[in-house]
Amino acid sequence: MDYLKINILVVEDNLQDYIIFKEILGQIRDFFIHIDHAQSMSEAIEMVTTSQFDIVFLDLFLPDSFGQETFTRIEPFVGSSPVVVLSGLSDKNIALEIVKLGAQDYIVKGDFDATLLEKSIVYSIERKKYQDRLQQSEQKYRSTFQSVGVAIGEYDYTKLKKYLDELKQQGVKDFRSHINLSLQSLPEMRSLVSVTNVNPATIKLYGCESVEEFEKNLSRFYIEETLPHFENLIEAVWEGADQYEGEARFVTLKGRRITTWEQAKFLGDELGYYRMLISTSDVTKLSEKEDEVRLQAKILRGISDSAGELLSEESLPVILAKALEIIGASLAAVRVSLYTYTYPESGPEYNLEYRWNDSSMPDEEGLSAEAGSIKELGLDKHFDQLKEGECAEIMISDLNHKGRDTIDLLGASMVVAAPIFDQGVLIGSINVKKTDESEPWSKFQVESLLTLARNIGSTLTRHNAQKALFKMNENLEQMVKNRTSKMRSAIKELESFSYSVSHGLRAPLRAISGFSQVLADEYGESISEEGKSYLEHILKGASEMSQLIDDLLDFSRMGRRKLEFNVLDIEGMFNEVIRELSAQVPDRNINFMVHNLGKCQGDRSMIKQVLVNFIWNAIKYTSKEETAQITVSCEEQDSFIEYSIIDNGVGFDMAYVDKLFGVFQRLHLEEEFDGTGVGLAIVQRIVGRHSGNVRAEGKVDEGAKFYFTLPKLDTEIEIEEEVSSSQM
Amino acid sequence: MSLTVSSDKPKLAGPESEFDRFVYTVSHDLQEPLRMISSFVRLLNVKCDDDLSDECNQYLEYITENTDRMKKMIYSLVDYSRVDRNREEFQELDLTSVINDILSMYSQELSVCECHIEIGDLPKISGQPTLIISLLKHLLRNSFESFVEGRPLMVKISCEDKNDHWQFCVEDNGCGISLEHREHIFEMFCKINRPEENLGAGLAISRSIVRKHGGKMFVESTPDLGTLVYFALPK
Repeated sequence: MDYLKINILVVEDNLQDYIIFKEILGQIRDFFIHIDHAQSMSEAIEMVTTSQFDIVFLDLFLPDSFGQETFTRIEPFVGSSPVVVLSGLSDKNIALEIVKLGAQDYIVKGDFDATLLEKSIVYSIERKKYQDRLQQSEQKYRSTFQSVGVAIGEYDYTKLKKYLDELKQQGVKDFRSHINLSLQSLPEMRSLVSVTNVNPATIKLYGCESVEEFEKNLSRFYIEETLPHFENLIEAVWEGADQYEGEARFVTLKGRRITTWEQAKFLGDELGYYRMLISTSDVTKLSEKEDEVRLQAKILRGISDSAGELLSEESLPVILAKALEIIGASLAAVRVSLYTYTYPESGPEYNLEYRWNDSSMPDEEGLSAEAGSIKELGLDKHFDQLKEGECAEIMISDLNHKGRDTIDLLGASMVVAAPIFDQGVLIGSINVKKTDESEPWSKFQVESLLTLARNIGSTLTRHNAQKALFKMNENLEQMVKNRTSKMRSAIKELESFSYSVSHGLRAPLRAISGFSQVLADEYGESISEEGKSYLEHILKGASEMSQLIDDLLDFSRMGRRKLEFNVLDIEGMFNEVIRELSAQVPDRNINFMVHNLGKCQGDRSMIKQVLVNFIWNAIKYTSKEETAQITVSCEEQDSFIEYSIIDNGVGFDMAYVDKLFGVFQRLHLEEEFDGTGVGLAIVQRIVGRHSGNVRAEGKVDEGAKFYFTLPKLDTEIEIEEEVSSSQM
Repeated sequence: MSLTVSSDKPKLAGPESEFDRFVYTVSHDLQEPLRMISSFVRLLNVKCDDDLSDECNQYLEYITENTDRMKKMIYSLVDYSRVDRNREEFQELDLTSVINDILSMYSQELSVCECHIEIGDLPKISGQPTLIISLLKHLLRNSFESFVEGRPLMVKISCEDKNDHWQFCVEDNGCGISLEHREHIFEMFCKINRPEENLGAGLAISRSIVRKHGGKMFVESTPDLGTLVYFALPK
């Protein structure tokens, strides 16, 4: 690897951090380093698209991008360059997350030296290369896998392989005789296989919509006739063969039985994973039973059409009755019953919900089971069968004495029951009796019944979901109310918390500022130019922190002060504020225009703070304009007046409008416009305490519009309670 | 009718809490200047050592000490905010063994204050392990730090069964808390007559943990005689 010259991009908006970083990079002697510097996301994206970097160091908090987003936004542009995240101590967790997302490394600011940095650079470049190569070959395979018309699936046989290895260790020599002796082992083995990935052709073949659905229903595809195939396949694994092919039968999710030709290739790997690549070709003859398929489709449509109208509680019985009728008619049944099951501790119990009788049959009463215990009837086995998702045939001979007394078979010799599931739980069954038993139930009829039962299950699931949704909506209003009052108290808590925090932080800060000031005053003369500049940076850091903590205290005091409502000549107040503030920027050329604003009510000194913050904000963000234009006007609403402050400054991206009023949120480079970002949070808090609200509109480079409302003179307002003296 | 299958009660994802954002931004915005100060103090030491008098070096050391202190305060702020964000599963915890584990970490402090510790019968409780450990750690540390020179420290941890909840008590015979401080002890960074290393965050964090577990916390104290910290946890 040739590391003679390395091009580095450092994306860092904090100039001091950048200087330190550069300083340390300069100490690396093993290769020549060329550094480029970007201070914002947009700048960084432009640079990585126009030139090639060997490595990118990325600060996560940029003026135009925050946190994880910073990485995900730049990642598509960096191509093969590795990204190393620069993090502070508090965002280390985010940095770790980002490494999981694909960053090569992270470095904690202020906690590294040249050696560490050099290591990180070399490792990151190497690792990224290796990853890219791996990804390329993987991608090639994936795209073939996805696009090929043949059904191909990748399955994880690792657990099964382990299971077989354990069997061998236990001394099992002959796989076949082991299977024959232990009937349970095949289903158990089946459950050890999981899907890694299947391609669209496979999903379609099995009647699924997505990989997830396929995966979820894997066990449903297996029927009894699948087992011989599965046995052969496992035997091949047992014997250590590297491939296998043979015929298999499955049932698709839609209930269609298919015959397939399976070709399996075994793929072991050095990490101990044992995967199997299986291609499946459908060899079912589709011609047979076309008519029956069409009939089934018709029945299904009937049910789902009516299920679509399932909007109210009342319509459910109607729909179920209709479903039973459709089943009865299509299967030439004499009676169709819908039972539900509950699971008390004493064992499962059944309950008759709906019944449909063929009109040609007399309506007898009192003969049939309406509710009771499954066990008492001696139908445990049948119940288990239902739980497995299969149809159960209840023969007259299966019933015990009590069962025969309770269950009325209407002269028939058997009942076929099909299970109904709701989210995987057996909640009921549809039981069908036929009068004409000269012909046995065909497989198709059984399958149809199963499908219909499944449809009823999903109808119920949907119904329950709708009911839950309805309830949720009902509760929503109450919840919003509760949340509003919770939020109010949360803000109060936050204020008192920030009060104690800022108070606590002041003590050490005073010491830092004090000592650095003394150093600068008394020893500034005696140290070198370089030392002086370091000292300046230290002072700057201290004053930044002081500003921050003062603002924090301001913020925390907002809720503590009692509001005094007065009639406010807000126009006069605006003019006064403008006079005061523009005196502080004598070299600026600013056009102020204050329209007729009328009068409103509010706490004079607090509202003045609002005006100061808004006007100062506008002055600050128009500093790049040759002639700044700041306009104040108002518009009457029902019981409020909305004031607007419009400027022609740098504006902001509406995508971040939510961040504007948060504490310490900043949308612009700190170097360009100073301030801690608490100003608008304070404004929002004050206006909120006046029952008004604040909003903003803007566009990058096209100015910003800020709006706030205050109550009219005759509006009665509910004054938010003062925060009590007890904390948190 | 029994066809309904119970569904989980609807959870509405609330917005990220204002508090979290506050702690996050405060810590982030303070750490930047702090890091800057430490780095430039270091550079001053390395590059300008010849120009600096002893007094200068002393001042630089003060600055470093205080930046370190601020850093620690910020860590404890982050710790405080983590209490609410902790998503650990509740587990059954044997408090006696939790306490013994903590004590083994403080063996040095224990011998310095000739500490005698008495652990009563403590029940098993259900809680988030990291938080419960942190709670007991803070309380025990507070007790150790209340040690008065010349008076062997006694710490007693006990529990009372109050029907629907357990009431725990950590009692010491240390310096106690003066009346004027009593009302502020649960505030973050409350400075009471404590050693310099103590940031005054322990009780704030402890109370937050207890509250998160559905309990309450209160303190009784007599200056110069000792302190009793009670916390109640639901059964």
